[in-house]
Amino acid sequence: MGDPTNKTETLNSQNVPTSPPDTLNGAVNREPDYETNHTTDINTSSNAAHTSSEATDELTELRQLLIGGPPGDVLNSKLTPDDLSKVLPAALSKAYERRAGITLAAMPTVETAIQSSVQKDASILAEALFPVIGPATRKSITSAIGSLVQSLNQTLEHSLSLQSFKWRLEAKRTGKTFAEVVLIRTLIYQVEQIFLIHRETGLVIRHVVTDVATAQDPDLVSAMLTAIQDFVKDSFTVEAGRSLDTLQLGDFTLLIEDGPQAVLACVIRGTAPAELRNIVRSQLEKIHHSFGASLRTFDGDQGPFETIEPYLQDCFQAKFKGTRKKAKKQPLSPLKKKLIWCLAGVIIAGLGTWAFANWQSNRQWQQFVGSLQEQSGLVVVNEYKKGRTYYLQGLFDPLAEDPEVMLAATDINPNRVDMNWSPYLSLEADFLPNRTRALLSPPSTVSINLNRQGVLQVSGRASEQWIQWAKATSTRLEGITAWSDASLVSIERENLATLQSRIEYRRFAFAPGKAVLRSQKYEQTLNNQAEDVESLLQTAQTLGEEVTISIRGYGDQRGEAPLTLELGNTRANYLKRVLINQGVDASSLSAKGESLHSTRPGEDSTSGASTLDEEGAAAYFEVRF
Amino acid sequence: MIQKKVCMVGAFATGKTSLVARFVKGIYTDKYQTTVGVKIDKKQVEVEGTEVTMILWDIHGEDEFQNVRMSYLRGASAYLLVIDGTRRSSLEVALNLKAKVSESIGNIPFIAVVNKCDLQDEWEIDEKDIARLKAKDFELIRTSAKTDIGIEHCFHRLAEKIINELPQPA
Repeated sequence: MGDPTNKTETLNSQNVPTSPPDTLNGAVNREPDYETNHTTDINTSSNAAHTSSEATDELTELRQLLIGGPPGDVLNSKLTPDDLSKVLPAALSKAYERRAGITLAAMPTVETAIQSSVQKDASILAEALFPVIGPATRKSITSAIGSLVQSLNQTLEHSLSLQSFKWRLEAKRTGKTFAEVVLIRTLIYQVEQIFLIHRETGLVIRHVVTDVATAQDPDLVSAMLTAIQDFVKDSFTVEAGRSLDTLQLGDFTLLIEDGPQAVLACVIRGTAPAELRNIVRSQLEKIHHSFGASLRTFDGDQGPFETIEPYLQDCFQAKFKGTRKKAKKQPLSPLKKKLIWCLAGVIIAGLGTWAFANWQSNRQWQQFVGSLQEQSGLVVVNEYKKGRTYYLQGLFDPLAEDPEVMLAATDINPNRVDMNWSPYLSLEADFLPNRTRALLSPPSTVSINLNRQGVLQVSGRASEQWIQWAKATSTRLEGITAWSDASLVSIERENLATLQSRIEYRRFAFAPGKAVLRSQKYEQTLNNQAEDVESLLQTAQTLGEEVTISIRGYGDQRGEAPLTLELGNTRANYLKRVLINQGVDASSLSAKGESLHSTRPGEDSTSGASTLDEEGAAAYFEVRF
Repeated sequence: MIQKKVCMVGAFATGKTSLVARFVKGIYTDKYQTTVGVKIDKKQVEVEGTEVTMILWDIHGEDEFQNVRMSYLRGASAYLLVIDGTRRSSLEVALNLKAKVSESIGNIPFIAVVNKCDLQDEWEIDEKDIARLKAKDFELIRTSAKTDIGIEHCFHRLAEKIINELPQPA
């Protein structure tokens, strides 16, 4: 209606006041045949008008007839269906252009018409729609499978299961994508390829394949399939009209439906249900019905079968695993699956750790018990585990190593241990030295050794008191047979000997002819002598020894013999008196004068007094026990 | 594009499979491989501007143990009747087969091929035989799959016969 000429005509007609309804007028203008005829008629009539007024009436009548009277008078006019049919298409177009509600007005009619048509014969409409429905269905299926693959891929890409690992492995092995493997494995069945084969020649009329399947040259497959059919029919005695209807190889089933002109073969992956054959059969029947003539005259030209695809599309069926299950039970979300796996992992790890810790603590406990049993002075009587606690009963020598300390040295948790020790005395040989040592508690200067014969060998220096006590005690000990102190030195006796030698060593010189010490130096010596004598007497008393200290005095060498002796006596007594004065017990002291010829202890008798003292020393001390 | 079923018919070991292999794949091997049942191949040729896809049914050869099954020829648009030039017996078999084919599926276009022309010295088929065949209005083409003689020509000629539906000798 974009034609400007027509529009102008329409507008012009509207400007005429007496013009009939626009629709008709416009339509008349655009109907060339009608217009031509009309013009001819008018011309003829106008010629007649010149002759009579009757003719003018006729013209008016004709005019009324053609372009209608007043509005609403169309039915009364003598417009024939033939006339209307000529203007109707143009009228409808005009109405549509003017949006005069024609669509709404026509809707019920069209709906009713479609309904009647379907009720009468569904195949007419079906056939008309087939070419549209086929590709649409295919597109929809393809996109559905595509999105299914994608969602499967996404779900499984991130999920962890033994199955998915297997599939992943298979994908790697076969070079397919993971999604393809999942699709194939979750598929119960899918029709992957369809061959429509001309029965007589074995030539392929149409071959359809799904996007996911890989197909060989359909021409060769089709011919070979026909050859196999022929081979089977020839080789085995089969009923007339029967043919090979199924071929099976692993996952694949080849479903063959034989028709009088054509054969429909479906390549199916998985196990197809029995209904599928019915679908295939019904499609083959439809094909024979619609393309019977083309099939009969088929000469290898696929041209007449361009529109056959929708029939084949109906055979594309697929069913996936678990669709029913899924409807009943919501599948776990990937997050939940992950959580479950995490939880399982934690539990397994926990159990593992617990088992290991348990094993380790048991091992530690057994090692501890072993070390207790090796220890002298400890006897493990009973040991067991109850719940998480280790119980132990045993005998414990107080001198043995402390089991609690031993326990603390291990990694065992002390709170899990309950030990009950009863005291006892161990007689074990290697334990006896310890016992003896502990019992005698010798001073640090003493070392004790117990030999195999049970002889306690004591060496070093010790006080006389300890020596006596230890000697008496040890012989009463179980396992000690004798006391040996050959190399043991008594400190007191050692002191006594020292004092004695010091006392006896000192010499005292006197002024000539007098009983007075020659110089201050000797007086100091005498003081020291007094202290030592005092100490000696005390030590001797401690040891129970009786001591006598003799002071021997000598006279001068040049004097008379009787005088010399006398002087010696005086001098000895002088020293004795000094000592007594300094507190020394008088009973232990004796003083005596000696002649020069008498021998002094420790001196060569022959040397005589000549060696006594060059300064004329004339007194010394002698200690006697 | 149209498809046509074409069969290879003849006695055993006349070189049917070799002819197809040379024609389709351009290869030849001396090794003899007996055909069991049928082998299918296809090749496209152009005849007078028409693309013809020849679906080649290489049917096993006829010998004393097995006859060529006529069911394999059903629906064929044409066939090559292959004769081994070095064996006269193959000519007799070919004639028998020709009769059988005509009887079971009618007079469809065919070409008689006398193969192994590279071994012409050893031929048992002589000019008299050739003349006899020509007298029967047989279209005869000498071929060698080994040296690639007449292969393209015979298949192309067959395609032409199919397209033009030339009258066939009875």
